[in-house]
Amino acid sequence: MSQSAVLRVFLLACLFWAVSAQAEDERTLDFIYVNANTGESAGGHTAIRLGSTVFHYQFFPQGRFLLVRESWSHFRYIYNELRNRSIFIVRTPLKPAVYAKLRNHLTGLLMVQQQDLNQLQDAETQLNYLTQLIAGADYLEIEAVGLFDRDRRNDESMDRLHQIIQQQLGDDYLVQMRQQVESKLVDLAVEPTRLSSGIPWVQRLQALLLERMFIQFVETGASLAEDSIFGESVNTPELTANERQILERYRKKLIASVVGMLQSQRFDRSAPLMLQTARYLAVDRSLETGILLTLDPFSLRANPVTVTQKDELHGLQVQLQQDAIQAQHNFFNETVHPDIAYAILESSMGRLHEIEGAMFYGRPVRVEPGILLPARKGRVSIADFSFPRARLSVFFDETKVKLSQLKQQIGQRYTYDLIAQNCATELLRAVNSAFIDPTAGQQALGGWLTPDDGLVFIPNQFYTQITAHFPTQKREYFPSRRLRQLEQFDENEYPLLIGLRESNTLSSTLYTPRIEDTPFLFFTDDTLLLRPVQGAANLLWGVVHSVGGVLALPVDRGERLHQGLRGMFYSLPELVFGNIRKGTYGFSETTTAGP
Amino acid sequence: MIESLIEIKEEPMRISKTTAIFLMLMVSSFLVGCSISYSTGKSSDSISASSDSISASSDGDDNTAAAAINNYAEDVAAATMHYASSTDESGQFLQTIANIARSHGIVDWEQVKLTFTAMGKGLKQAGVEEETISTLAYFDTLPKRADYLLVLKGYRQS
Repeated sequence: MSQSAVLRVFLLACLFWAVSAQAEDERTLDFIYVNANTGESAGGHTAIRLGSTVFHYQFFPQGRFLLVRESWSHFRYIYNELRNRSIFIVRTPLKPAVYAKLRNHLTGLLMVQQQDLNQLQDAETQLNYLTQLIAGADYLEIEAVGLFDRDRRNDESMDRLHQIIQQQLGDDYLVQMRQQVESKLVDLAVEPTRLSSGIPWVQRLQALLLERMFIQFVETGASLAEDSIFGESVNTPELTANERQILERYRKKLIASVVGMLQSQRFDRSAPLMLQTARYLAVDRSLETGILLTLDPFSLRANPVTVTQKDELHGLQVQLQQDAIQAQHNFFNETVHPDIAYAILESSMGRLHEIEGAMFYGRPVRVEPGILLPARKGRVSIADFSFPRARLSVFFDETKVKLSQLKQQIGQRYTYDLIAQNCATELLRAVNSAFIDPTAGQQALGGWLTPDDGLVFIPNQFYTQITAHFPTQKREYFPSRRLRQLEQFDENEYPLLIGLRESNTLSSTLYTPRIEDTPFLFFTDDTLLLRPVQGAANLLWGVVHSVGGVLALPVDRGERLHQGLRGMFYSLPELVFGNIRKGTYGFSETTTAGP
Repeated sequence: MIESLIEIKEEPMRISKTTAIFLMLMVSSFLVGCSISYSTGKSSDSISASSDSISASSDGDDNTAAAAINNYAEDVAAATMHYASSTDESGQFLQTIANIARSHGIVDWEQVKLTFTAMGKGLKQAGVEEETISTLAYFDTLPKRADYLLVLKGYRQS
């Protein structure tokens, strides 16, 4: 090879290395603006994205305004697809160390937030239990116990588990464990102490009662409660030979988990023990029947939602069936984290069961977000304990005060204010609090904004200010679902005809009017010059619906009137060239079940 | 995939301050928040959203267990960093770990190796010296277990 050829190869190699190194170093902080639509975000919405994770603030029941983390794909599905809102993103380059710092910081904020909420929930549970104990209750309702039926004994699967425990840990292991638990319970009952290693008395009592219950279930051969297991619906296919093998492997893993936790010193092992045992029974029954069965994953925190429209039910059923099939596929192909894949499977099967209950029996649908772990409550007897009521009354008073203080603190910390504490201001505060001072922040991010700067509390203006104050590397635009579909019309079709047809809700092929969108005639998000005229027509349309709503008052309790008035309201910005309303879509109208 | 990145066609409109304030005042009576969590609503859309929150959590990749475990590891590291920097007792720390595990669909967190490597990472982020790890409450129970090596691995790789 000639010298010049060697030099060329060398230079190419250097260039390749430089480009690769730069690509590896490329990290960005992505500021997201979602434009407005009717309802809860008529001012638009803001978020940030790090990698494929979005952080943003959302409003929750009980008036809480919380930091939320979710995948970019889920965020896009909700805002861009279902809510039909355009998304604008501006990307600011970050050094890898700053990216990691920011990501860790936001994760830390999430963790602290969750700790606060858990603390509140624990205090409420503690107060509830203390109230019952002081009143002389014979039992407490504790999570996971409801998965079992203590009246059905000598279940073969449970007896097999008992034998395995005896073989691996000794014949007397559970007997000795029961004695230790009983002894601790007596001590706990006679001499309640507020905290032990930071764990409140009620939590320790609950954990020990649950352990005692677990031992009783195993020793008596309790079976699963019949209504705690799902899967035997009409079209459930039989397990394949491969699936049976995988379930058999998973059953062994569950047994190993139970045996392992029996030897663990974790004070919180009792609830996981119960759940893994219940899962073992569910898996065993699946293998016995040849049909995949899973536990009821919902807790009492689930929201009941009534769905009556048949097309909605059908659309939901199709979507949730697809989700369940995907979850099954993932579980049967998961080699590293089968427990998580199984939890996702349980959640998906549970949701499908709910919608089928609505379709066939008209039941409300229980809704609970995220990955669910079965935790059905059941009764645990405390009749054989005599608790010192005077002492417990002192705990009760202290817990009541603590609960009141926690409610106040959390109420103040996680509250919403239209201007001072909203999705834009809190996002900026969250990002800024990663740095010790504005100088350090400016150096790390390349720009700096505070919640008090100008009109940055308005999401629209937040985005504008970000692009003005931060070095932007790249911008992205995701047009709303309807705008995207408008662009996909065949170029050979007459644009004027398409424009006329799709401009209004009466003839549009891309949109079906929905009650929650308020009554309106014209879409105004893709027009500007005609907006005031169309807005006037929409206003008139709202007036007509409002008049109809007055007449319908005795029948619909004011729903049509309410929507008519809202329709008039959202028409007002259109008169001055503004736009909020764009129409939304139900899941049954989406072209895909999620991205 | 619906994904379609195209050049910006329409920037958010630059509006005057007066118009902005007018619009905000107009909508203020209807606003209850920048955005309501979809999955806690009462409409049938909340059913779809609550399911999608786990089925699409990995940005197009169908392996949602991998996505969940990554978030879990981040959260455990954050919790450990907080514990090491605070006066919290070990019982509270373990309760936090159990809550984090539960929220990610993990029941037996002691069996998940990533728990301990993430703890090591959190200790490093907190600035704990390696030789003092075994003196911290809870971590002082680990040196006799294989999990301790995982903690050190996570610490040293951070």
